[in-house]
Amino acid sequence: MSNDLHDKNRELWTARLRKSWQKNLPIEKLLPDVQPAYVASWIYTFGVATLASLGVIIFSGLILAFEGPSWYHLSRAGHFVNSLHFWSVQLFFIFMVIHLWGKFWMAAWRGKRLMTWMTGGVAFVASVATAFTGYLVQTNFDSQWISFEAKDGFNSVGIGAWFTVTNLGQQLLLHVAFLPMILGLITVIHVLLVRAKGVVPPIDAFDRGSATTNNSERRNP
Amino acid sequence: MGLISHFMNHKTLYVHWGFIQMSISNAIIIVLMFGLFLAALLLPFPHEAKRDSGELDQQSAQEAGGAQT
Amino acid sequence: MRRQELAELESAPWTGRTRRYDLVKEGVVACLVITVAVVALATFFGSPDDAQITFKKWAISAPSDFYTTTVHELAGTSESAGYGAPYNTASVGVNLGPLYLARLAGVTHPVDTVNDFVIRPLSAFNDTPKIAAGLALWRSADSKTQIDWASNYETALAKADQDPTKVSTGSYGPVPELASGLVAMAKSGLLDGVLLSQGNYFQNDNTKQTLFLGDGKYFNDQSTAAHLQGDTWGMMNETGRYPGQAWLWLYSFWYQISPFNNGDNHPIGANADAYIMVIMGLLSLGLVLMPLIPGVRSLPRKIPIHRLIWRHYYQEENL
Repeated sequence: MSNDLHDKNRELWTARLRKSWQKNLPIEKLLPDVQPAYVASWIYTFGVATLASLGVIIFSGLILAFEGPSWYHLSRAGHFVNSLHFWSVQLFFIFMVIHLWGKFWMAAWRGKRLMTWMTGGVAFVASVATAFTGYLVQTNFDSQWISFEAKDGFNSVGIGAWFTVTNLGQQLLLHVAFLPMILGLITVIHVLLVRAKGVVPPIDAFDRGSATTNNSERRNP
Repeated sequence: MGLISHFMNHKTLYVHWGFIQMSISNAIIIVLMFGLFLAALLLPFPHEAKRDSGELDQQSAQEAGGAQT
Repeated sequence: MRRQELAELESAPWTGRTRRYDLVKEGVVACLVITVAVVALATFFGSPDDAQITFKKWAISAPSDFYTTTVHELAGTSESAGYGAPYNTASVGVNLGPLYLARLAGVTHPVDTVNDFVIRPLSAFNDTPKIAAGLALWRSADSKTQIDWASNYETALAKADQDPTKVSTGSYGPVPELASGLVAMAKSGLLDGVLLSQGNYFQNDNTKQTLFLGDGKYFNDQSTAAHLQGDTWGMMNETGRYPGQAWLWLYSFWYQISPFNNGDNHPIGANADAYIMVIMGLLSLGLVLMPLIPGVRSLPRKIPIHRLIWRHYYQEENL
């Protein structure tokens, strides 16, 4: 009887999802306490530094959102929170680009990690778009000028017909709701892929001479 | 207001190099990025030497059940 | 070794030497370090916040420029009046070869510079007899007469070096009164509210104000002074001494080189916005698909920066 029940469960979508999840991302991979010994360089810290910066961006952004787009012009506390948001964005891009440089020179897409690279690339583009809408909703001279100039770019390829950079209401909603949701989702997928696929092994770890085709073979002849 | 906001809210200088023009602040950011990248590559990172931790690694690998990390 | 074989090996779970790793601690430490850094930067440097430019500020600081711009709006010769889609059909807009994408997308945000920028707002300011009479005269004329008045006055004003007191007599209708009326309305601060609301209670679309503001020289001059113009890498810059959007360097780059900076008389220069948008779209796609691009994807092997990253591993494995 238990075998019949087991067979019936295998056809369920939920069961299939659960099994796939358990196979590809068991809790030991999600929250490991070991990592390959070759992960021994400061370059590996820039991914988590980018995430930490994103955390500060979201935290300061939530306060700005709660108080409304004009608050920071009128209040010292508001100006301080705006400054937190401004500098966390600067650090976010600094760390993300260095992370990208590191991953490129490691050829980190190897070993079936193409999706990890691609989600990272899309995250970069989405970050630029999210930051751009942020600059548009500053409600100061800079945002007036950026909207005036940027309209020409988007209008020129027809996107300006519905993406109106001079419409504060639209840009504010995109910046605070829609784009952070998209970016957050892409970031979560990217990080889960890193956890699931693991950190890419060094170039030539498996492709240099018969004595070193596999590390475990060397340790356990 | 920041401690040096008064200083920051004035016109900046620009670095000119051929057709490239960049504000000093942007130039500092970019130089800082290259510097951080180089530092990350070159600065020593704490690591366990192979001969000292062979037994520990075998135990850790068994605990992880060969799980990829 | 075949590529497929290598991919299998590189994707397999690592069975070599491992080290202890506290992921949660790493995350917490990173959050603490970054938070301290951001608080320090915010406390020390603050952030940029140059005050917005209002129509009141424009009219008080540069009344002559505001007056001239108003005349251009009435004559239909301002940049907004002749922009094309998505605001009006006055122009075919920019093109990518045979493709007129803006025109294809259509007029989704109609802007009538004469009525939206001048006549309707002035209607809320018609307390003075001169303005009321001027509006009545304007409305009583047909559109050809209106355009003739405005064009005649625009030409005469240019000949008088933008000085209304030196304009020779001519057939201008109520254009001088309407223009000076709008200057007075702007100086009073009333124009800002009326232009935004467009007769509504709730309003959050600043398109009409931004277009009108951009038609004048004053707004552009403030931007030039702040080094924000596109042809001086302005896209990357910020007001004051603050860092800007340095990550837009590549987008800004194209505007500095030929043929994109060849000006409006050249086919690519006149349509630089469209060409550069397409280039950046393709380059962004290239970034995402980089591992599939031959030549680029083999650069990490050719320039072995990875030897620095994994130097301990290579030393210990004698690679």
